[in-house]
Amino acid sequence: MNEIDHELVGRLLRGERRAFDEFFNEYYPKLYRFVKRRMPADSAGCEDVAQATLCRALESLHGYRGEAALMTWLCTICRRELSARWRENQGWAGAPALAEDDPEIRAALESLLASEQGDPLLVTSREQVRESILTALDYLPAPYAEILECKYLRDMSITEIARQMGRSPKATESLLTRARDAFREAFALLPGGAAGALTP
Amino acid sequence: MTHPDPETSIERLIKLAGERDMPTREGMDRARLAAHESWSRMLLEGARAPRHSRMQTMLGLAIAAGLAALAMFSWTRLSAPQVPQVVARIAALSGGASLRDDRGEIIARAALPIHSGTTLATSEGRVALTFGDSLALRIDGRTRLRFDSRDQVTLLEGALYVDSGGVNTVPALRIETPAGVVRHVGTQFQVQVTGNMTRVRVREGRVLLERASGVPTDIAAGDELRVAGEDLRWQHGLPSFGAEWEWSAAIAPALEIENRPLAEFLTWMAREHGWQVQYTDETLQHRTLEIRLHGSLDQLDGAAMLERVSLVTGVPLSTRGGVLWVGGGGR
Repeated sequence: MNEIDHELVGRLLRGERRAFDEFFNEYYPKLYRFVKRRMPADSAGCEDVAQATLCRALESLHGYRGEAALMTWLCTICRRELSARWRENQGWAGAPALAEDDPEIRAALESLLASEQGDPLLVTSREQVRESILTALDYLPAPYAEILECKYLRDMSITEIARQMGRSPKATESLLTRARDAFREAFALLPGGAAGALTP
Repeated sequence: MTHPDPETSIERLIKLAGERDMPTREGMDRARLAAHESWSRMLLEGARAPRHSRMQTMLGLAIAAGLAALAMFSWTRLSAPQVPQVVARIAALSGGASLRDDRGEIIARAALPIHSGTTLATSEGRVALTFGDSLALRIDGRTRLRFDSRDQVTLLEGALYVDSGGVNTVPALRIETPAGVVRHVGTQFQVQVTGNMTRVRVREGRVLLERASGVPTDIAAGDELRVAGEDLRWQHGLPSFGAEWEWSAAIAPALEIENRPLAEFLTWMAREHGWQVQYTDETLQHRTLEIRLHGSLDQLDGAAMLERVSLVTGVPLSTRGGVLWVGGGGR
């Protein structure tokens, strides 16, 4: 059971406004990207599906048992929303098959268990590697993804990140270490997550 | 063969992926409003029809175990002194007010915490409070309110307004009055005590009055009940706006508008004053999600806020008959 998710849901059920903000800010963008990977040409439609998913999830929050990670539970609801939308759309040819839809990969991402297997899933293209990186980031807790992007994408110093995140430099260093470990574990589970994936 | 430094590998990966896609700000705002509505509905329905999921059953067992432990603790520590807890905080005040407890009396001021066992007294002034995680309380002039615990206050005299923000809170606030205990379910209402007469008027949702004798009395939106001893007098179909409610809006802490959409300001204004929002056309309604406000509305009354916002956004705003017209329909 994911204690952090369980606690957040408990606070939502008690009607805490702050919990609603935390829930929305963390999961709406993630759900949007989850849908975008499946409907890349329709940004407005992606927003609609992500919104419908959040509404449905909040209305049935009593049904969350805490057995799966909250993100996994939301993705299950989101897949149903996507299926309903696709059924309505006569011209649709079928859902794109994504690695993260594989139940085994999903289960592995959920627990973020370190995989030491020597034979990672096949890498087919550079785009697939990029896809896997983005997926791995979205499965991490929001502060992990944020600190990795601040550090490596925006080239911010530890002092600057600490100020932005409202933490001490030491706590920020520690968070970065944990974020790197978690990212490495999550990424290794996905196609393209092989150690030499970026080697030309 | 040499292996790259793990940190360098992660840096290369993150750079390769680039910035993640984000929904538009308009989409975010729209989704936030819709999600908030769903959340409020779930809380209200949950309060009306309690479910018995496994999680709740476990919670119930945990609470029962906790109560048993608490009973044992209380039994063994009957003589231990009660430690006052912070139960509320002053959000805004106008005019004079004081806080009195066992240690004496102090002048009330903004941001001051209020501990259990404290009595707040207003003279000509009014006070706005935050109570617990999500309740807003407003206290009218010439009122005395005692804070008993994290879920109970006693209205000794005067008028109290409660706004739960449209959601049910756990535990629900209990208000002790001469007529009995007033409890609410996700609502806006006010309670007034004058001598031996208690008046409860409900703007939204519903309220239960538990009297010492008889079954709880259900008071719905638009209803007013006056209780004096065994005498009960009802009024029905009362408006959600008007002079009876304006004192609570007058002491409401100003909304922090910086970078907030106009739609949020309109929703807040309507809730504070009990108005309905009407848009003259759908395009304008969508625009209110896009228009961002800047600056501050501190020190302005309701009419001045509407005038200021209308002026800077160019969107005509007016009120008539309990309706906040957006787009000039009220003229």
